Amino acid sequence: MKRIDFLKTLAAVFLALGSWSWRTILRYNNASVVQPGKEAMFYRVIGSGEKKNGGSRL
Amino acid sequence: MSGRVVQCLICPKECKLAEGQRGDCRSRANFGDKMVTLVFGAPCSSHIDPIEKKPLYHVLPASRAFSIATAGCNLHCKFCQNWEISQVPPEDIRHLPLSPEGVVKQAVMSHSRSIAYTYSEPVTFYEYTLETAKLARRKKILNLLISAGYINPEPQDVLCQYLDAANIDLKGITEKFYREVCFATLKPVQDALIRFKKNGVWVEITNLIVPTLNDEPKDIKLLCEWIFNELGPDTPLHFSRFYPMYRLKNLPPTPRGALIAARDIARETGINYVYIGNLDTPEGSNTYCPKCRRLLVERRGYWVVRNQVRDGRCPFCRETIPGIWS
Repeated sequence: MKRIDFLKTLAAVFLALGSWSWRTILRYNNASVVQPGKEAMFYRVIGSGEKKNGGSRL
Repeated sequence: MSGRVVQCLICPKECKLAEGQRGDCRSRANFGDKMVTLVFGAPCSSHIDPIEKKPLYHVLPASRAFSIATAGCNLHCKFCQNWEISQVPPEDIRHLPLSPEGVVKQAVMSHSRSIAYTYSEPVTFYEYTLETAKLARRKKILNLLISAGYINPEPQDVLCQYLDAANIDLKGITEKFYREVCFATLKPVQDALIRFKKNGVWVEITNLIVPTLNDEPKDIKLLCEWIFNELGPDTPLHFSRFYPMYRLKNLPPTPRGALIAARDIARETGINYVYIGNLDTPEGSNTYCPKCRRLLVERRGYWVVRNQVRDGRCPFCRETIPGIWS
């Protein structure tokens, strides 16, 4: 029983550490990855037939 | 994918974007029939600067301005002095998460009396600027916009409610210069300057003098006359020295004489506060009383050596010195 408790604790510690380090890695990796963010202000949706004059594709 | 086109209305370019396309500024895009900002809460630069670096010489001299920028710009000036961050898409440059609350918190912690939206072009990170400015105002921190002023009237009027001061680049005085060198147009910038003034935002102007492109004395004269007539003689004007950068590495730095000549033209036109930036000149950064000509604020580079303005007035002749002094 004691051994199972010890293994459970060990697993929990590994999971916590793993999750923290994984989130940290993701956070810093994502630092240079563009996420489609907040909805912008001041725009309008127009028909699909309109001429486009935008910049590059994502 | 629904394939509808959205039109950005933040700046006079008014880009029309198909699904997945992004605007000329590279930081606003059409995602599922919605315009989204790609840089909200993701500054590529954050720094504590002396307010003199903005430059804003008539706003809280010697105070700190917590300064932020994100990648992108809606202009593409060939002489851009910050092109590494302004002329790249956000994914090409490292940025870290910093929410509007985080910006204000860091400004408070660093004893900054203002937050400057600067370096690249805050019009392209409008939502981030606006949200941060609202929070900053609650904490009595000033909001400073350092911009090319290429913005549509409606978003400008909303932003002006939270702005205290702005330094706007008036890059030249001819449409030709704006079209050929900046890939923009002059008229919207002039209109925006007038609107800033009407909205009660303290305005200072920067003009970067680029050899052979906008350094003709007749053009400098025209620029000064426009400022004098439309914005008034008390609008501070900063002539800034160009250094070879970006797509204009073939040009030399602005000669010292050209900057001094420009300052003389501005003074002859009647502009009361004229400064020279990016160049170490004795007196070039000093503020003098336009009435009694005594030295009021002595500056060396970005540092204020002496500030004698008291309650917004000259201590010698009691002339009002316009600006935000306390």
